[in-house]
Amino acid sequence: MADPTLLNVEKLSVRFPSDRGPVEVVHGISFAMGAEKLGLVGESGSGKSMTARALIGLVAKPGRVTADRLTLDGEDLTALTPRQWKHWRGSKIGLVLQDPKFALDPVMSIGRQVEEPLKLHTAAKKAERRERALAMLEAVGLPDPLRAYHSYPHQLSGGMGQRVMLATTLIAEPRLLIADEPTSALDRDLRDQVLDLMLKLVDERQMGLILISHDLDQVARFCDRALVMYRGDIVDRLPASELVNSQHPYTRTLWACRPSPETFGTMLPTLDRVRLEAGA
Amino acid sequence: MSLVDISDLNVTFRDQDVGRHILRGIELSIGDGETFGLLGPSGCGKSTLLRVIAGLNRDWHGSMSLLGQAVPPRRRFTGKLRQQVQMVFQDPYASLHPRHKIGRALREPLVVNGLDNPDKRVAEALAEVGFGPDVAGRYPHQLSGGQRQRIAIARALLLRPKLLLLDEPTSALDMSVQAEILNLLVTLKARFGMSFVLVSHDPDVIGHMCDRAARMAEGQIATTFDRAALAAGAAAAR
Repeated sequence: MADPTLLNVEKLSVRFPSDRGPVEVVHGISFAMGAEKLGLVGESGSGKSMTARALIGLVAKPGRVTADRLTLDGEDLTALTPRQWKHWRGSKIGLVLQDPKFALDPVMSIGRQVEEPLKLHTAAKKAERRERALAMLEAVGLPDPLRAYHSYPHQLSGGMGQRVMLATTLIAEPRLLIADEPTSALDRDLRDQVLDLMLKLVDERQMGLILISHDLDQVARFCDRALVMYRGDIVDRLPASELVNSQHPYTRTLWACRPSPETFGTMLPTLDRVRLEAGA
Repeated sequence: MSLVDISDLNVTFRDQDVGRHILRGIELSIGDGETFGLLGPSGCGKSTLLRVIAGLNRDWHGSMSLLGQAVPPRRRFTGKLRQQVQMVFQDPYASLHPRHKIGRALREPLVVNGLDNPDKRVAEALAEVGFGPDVAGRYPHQLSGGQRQRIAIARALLLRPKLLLLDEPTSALDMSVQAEILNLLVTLKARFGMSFVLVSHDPDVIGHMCDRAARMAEGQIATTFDRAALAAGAAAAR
């Protein structure tokens, strides 16, 4: 394991109140990570996105986050006030979401959106902000950074939008990047391109990356370690390259349920939820 | 017999007085009992082609016959075609009316087509996709994405179609739920003797499901694949 001091999570829980009493969607999970690439996999509803939101202080009310310990770079996140969170988000932890169509502000130019974290978190002057934004747009592989700088989100394709989102997140040089299904809104051919780019930038900056995905193959190819979530618990932890050999029935089914030309004419394995719940 | 016969099909959209050629000279023939795949990047025209076959886009040129019946352009489907060609859409969130309960959504095609015993048929259709009859009293927002897609499939099957058109039926779903839906489609196809046209941008899904497939690019069919080519992974190659 790499240096495990970047992020430390102990007994993290997320609860929502309901008519029938509180519902716990993340059940006291613990993990630690350094400047490495960690994959968080599971089905929708398994709690992986809620975990990410808890780490970045974005669990909406009336949801409640509790943890015995939650530290980033040695600093305690559980004690942050909303005001302090505002400073942490963006400058220490960045979040890339699934769909640039919804995550970028439609009425703000790309340049302003990429510069915004600098405005909020640094003392950089206007000219410097512009220069750094243009450099960032170039770093994320936009062919004409100046043109992108003056564009609006609707003028960009999905792949370009996702690159812009990456630029807005990385420009303030956070220590940890959380990418929540960053490529599932993209065409297949674009997915690997965007992930390759993301990994390159993360490596260059020696950041930590949490890649949330329901695509195990993607995590196996791009991450160092994987945590597998099911119904709010981490049920399996293993090196990402070992996902294919996992002995856990849930992980095995998630891996084996991928269709392919070889599975033609056969039934794909599906989750035996009754058995899984009996085992849990 | 071919279920679908399309020759020299063209579709143009007017965009601010400039004609945009969406489909150019499509030639396509799909046999009875076949699963035919259409793949290609966004904007290549695959969904438009599917909407022409579904009778949703009637503004086209060329010739088309479905289930042996010639279909003229600019006309609504008549007679049996209205029941025998059905479609399942990509987004299970948008394809069900948010304020209609599931039972109402499923009764609608029955009422429109004047079929008897709607309640019994709805209960049967729900059972076919693995639900109990009580789901009829729920609203779409009370169901998950995979459950909604099963409802959309149940709705399409109510009229016992011969040809089921599937527009990215699993691309909004998790891998594990995708497996459940694909299995369901394969099972129902065998049980009811249907043919499928499956649009997907995922070559793995096409390779798993299809007997034949075509890759589209810029409104044309660029390559066609038979089963041997699909088995060899040709659909995934660029």
